[in-house]
Amino acid sequence: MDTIVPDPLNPQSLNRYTYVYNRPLVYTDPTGHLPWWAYVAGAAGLYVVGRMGYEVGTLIVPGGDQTRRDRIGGGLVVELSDVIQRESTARSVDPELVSAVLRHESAAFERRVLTFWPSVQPGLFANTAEFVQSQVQGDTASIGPGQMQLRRARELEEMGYVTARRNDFERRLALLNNETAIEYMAGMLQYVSEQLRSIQGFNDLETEQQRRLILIAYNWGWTEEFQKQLRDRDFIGMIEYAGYDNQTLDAYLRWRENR
Amino acid sequence: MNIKLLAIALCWLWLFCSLAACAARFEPIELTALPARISQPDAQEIDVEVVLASAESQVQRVLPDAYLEFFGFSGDCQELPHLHGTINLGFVQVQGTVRHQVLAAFASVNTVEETMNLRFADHSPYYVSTAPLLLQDSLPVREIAELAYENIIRLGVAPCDVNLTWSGTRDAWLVQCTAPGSGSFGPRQCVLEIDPLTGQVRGVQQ
Repeated sequence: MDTIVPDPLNPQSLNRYTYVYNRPLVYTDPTGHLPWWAYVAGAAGLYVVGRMGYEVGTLIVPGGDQTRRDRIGGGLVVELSDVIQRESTARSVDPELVSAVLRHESAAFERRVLTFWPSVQPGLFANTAEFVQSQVQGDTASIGPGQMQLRRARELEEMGYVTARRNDFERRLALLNNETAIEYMAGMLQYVSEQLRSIQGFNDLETEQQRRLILIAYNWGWTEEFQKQLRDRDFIGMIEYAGYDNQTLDAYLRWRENR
Repeated sequence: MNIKLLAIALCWLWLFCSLAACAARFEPIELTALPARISQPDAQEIDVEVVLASAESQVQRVLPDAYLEFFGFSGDCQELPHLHGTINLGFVQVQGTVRHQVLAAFASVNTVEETMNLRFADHSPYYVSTAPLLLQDSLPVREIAELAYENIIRLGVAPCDVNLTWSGTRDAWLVQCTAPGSGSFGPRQCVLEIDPLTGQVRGVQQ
C-alpha cells in the first residue's frame, strides 16, 4: 500500500504510479518513501536544531550561559594571555578588563551557536556569518571576539588608538581575528578610560567602581546618550543601571578565582 | 483549505511578526522646556507626587506602559530640604515576546523654573536594569531629603552640591556631596546611605 501523502506543491507527487517523480537518473527510492537528499537534509536539519536547542538551553538553565562563557571565552583568555598582556601594557589599560571583555564577548550566544560542536571555539563558520552580517547590516553590526561595531573600530583608528586599516574589508578581518581584535578591545578601553579620568569626580571613586564604569563605557561607547545618563544618574547610579556590564566583571572575577 | 498548511503558514507568520517586532527601531526623542507641575494648586512647597504624576503623564504619551526605576535630586545642599533644584526621574518600558526591548525615558524637572526636559531612547543593546522603584516603600522623599540635609550640616561639608538618588536595584537612598558649583562630577566631599524604611543613616564617608 502506498502510504505517502502527495505534496500539493509538487504536482509530480500527485501521480501515485510514478517512480521518484519520474527522475530515476537523479533519485533512488530504496524504502519507497523519501528521496536520498531528504535524509541528508533531515539529518542536517536535526543537527542544526539540536545545536541551537543546546545553546538556547544554556540560556534557560541557571548558570548555563556563564558556564559556556567560562569554557569558550575563558579558554581564549588563557590562550591569548601574552597578547592581552602586550596590548594592555602598550596602552596602560588594566589587563583584567581586557580579559573580562574577551571572556564575555567572544562567547556571545550569536557566536557560539555558530560552532559545529559545543566545545569548539567560534572560528571560520561564526566569522563568515558575522562578516556577511556586517556587510548586510552595515556599521552597527557587532562582530568578532570583541563584539565591536565597525563604526566604533573606524573611530578608534581615526583617533589613533589602534593601527589604521585601509578599508572596511581589512577592518572586518582585523575585528574577526582573535589577536587584532584584542588590539581594538584594549584601544577602546584606553579611550573610554581616558575620557572617564578627565572627569574630576571619577578619580575619587573606588578602583572597583572605576573598573565597572570603564566596562560600562566600553559597552555603551562614549556616546552622547551615555554621557547624559552618566550625568543624570551620577557614577554609582550608572553602575546600578548597567546590571549586565557588572555581570561581565563579576563573572570574570569568579572564573579567575575558580581556575 | 488544507488545515495543516494553514497551521504551518500561521506559525511562520507568528515567527515573522515576532522577529519583526524585536527588530523594530525606536528613534530617540528629545523634548525640552515643557511646562511641569510641581505643587498642589493652593500650596507653595514642592510635592514629589505631583512632580512624579506630571512627568509620568508626559512619558506615558510615548511609552504607555513605562514605570519608574530611578529617582534623583540634584542641586545646592542648602536647597535640599525644599527640593529646589532638579528632580531626575528614570522610566522604562519592557516589550516584545521573542527578545525583550527596553525603551527608556528620562525626565529632568527643574523645580525652580517649573520646566521639564524629556528624552526617550532604546536601551535594549545595553541590558540595563529594569527593576521597578516603589517610592511608596520608603519614607516620604521630603523626609529623606531633610534627614540627608541634617547629616550634611552635621558633617560640616556645606556649602556643597548634592545628589540624592534611589533606584530599583538599591536597598538604600544614596547621598553624595561634591564641591560647591561642581555638580555631580565634582570632587567628592561626602557619601552616605539612608535606609528607606527607618531613615537610619549608614555608611558615612567624608
